[in-house]
Amino acid sequence: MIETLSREAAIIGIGSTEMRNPDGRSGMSLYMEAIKNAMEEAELTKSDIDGFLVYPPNGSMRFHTELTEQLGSANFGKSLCDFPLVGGLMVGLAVNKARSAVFHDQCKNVIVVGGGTWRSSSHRTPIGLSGVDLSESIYHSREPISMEYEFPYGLHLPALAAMVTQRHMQEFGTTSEQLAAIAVAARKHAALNERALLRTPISVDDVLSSRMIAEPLHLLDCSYIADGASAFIVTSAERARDAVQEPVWILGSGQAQSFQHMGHLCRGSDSEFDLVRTVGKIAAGQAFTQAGLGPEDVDVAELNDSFTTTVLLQLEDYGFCAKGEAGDFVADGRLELGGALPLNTHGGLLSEGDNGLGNSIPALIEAVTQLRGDAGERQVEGAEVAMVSGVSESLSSYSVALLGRN
Amino acid sequence: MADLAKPLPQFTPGSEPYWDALSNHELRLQRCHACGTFRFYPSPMCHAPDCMGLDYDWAEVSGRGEVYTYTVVHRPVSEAWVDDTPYVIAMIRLDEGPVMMSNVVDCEPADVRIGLPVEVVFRDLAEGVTLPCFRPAS
Repeated sequence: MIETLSREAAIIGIGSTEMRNPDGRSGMSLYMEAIKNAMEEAELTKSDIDGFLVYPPNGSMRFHTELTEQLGSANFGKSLCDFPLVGGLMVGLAVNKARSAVFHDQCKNVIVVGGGTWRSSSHRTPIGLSGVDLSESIYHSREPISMEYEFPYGLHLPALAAMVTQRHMQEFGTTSEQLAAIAVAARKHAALNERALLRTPISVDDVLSSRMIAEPLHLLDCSYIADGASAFIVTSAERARDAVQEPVWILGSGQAQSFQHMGHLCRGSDSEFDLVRTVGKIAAGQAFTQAGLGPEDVDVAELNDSFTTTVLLQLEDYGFCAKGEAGDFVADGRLELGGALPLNTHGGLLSEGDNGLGNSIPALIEAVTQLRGDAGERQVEGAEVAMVSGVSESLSSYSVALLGRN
Repeated sequence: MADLAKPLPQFTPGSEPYWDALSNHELRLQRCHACGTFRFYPSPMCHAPDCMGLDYDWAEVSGRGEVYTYTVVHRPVSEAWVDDTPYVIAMIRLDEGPVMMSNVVDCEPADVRIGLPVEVVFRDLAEGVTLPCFRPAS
């Protein structure tokens, strides 16, 4: 067993919906299915759940009471309801908060749930600008974009990531072929995951010949928009010992924020943080310190891959390789099953699907599955430590959780 | 075809002097009274690491700078940008220090590169609404 400092709380249940929503169900409907699946797996009843950390699928600041209505009939004494409204970076924050709540006896069992209807509720344009395989919503997500100083220039999320990528290429000589290797690995893993939406294997050439979205990012460098919800349940160390499922321990977590407007990180190389030297370094550093572990201890990494670039930055800033060397690091199948650092073994946002708000939870679900040894054909043999991350859409803010096998 | 109009910038409280100056074809940024540092985007507090100045004036800047990073957009954000596609979005580092997002215009997208010297050019979008864009420096 690995030696670690921190085993205060554990994940004892996971649940998901499909990543598709052909019947146009509401976000609430998807959430309740994911929650039910997690509770049934953990053999918990409505009265066992007394904490919620939720991303309101309908944007309602009353969502916690709507949720309590549905799960409160046996016991309205829910003592934690909160909204980790930090976009793609939700997972580490939620893990941290849930861990604290059960450790301090504020709650017995906390459910974290997120997801949404990003694809089915997207705005489709009449002339089909997006082509066939990418919904409009990634272009229409305005959350991180200033409507005063940025949107008037025609900015969308891929363009933001493209400008970060361009800078990485300029400073470190990173190539489009290297970025493509990240998408190829994700797709290879998705082929082994029935839940994944895109399962046909692709080559580096397929990525490079896919439509240019914003130079240097191609269509297949961008996440694939989906619908769906996922949930997990956190409980205290004491309760985890009696859990039905093999508990997966929370070993550490961390988070760090930086810019809202990306101009603030367009600095010189004399600055510690800029567009390509992210505060992910702080988030991962906190998690590793709490866990008493380092990058070399991570057996499987389920990292946010909103764009291929997002993975590239994290590999460097989390310490898996030196700054500027991720392009070389991802070559030769290192991120693929059987490689030195299997990454996004479920296919990630690039190939399993990107369900929008709370899109970092599916990565945690996969990490738990791997640590339980339940990943079937895509199992990483002997996986004891997994890293999970969430990253904001603008690649500016990061959260990390380290999970460990029982 | 009203849908095809580009949305105008949504002004926020405190930024009126920025937009008023632009409509007169002047680029004015906040300059801290306490330490003299220019800043962008408009905000209540000085951005300098060791300064918490809340007082400022709107001082004209040279309008000159260079491209810090950029992208050539091939898939426009909406149909309103179709006629402009491909278009260049760039982060412009002004000679005075602050960095602003903008479009690089009046050149071929392929000619844009990191480090390209640029100068401001004013695009009137509507009565009283002017957008600062940049072109290769003359």
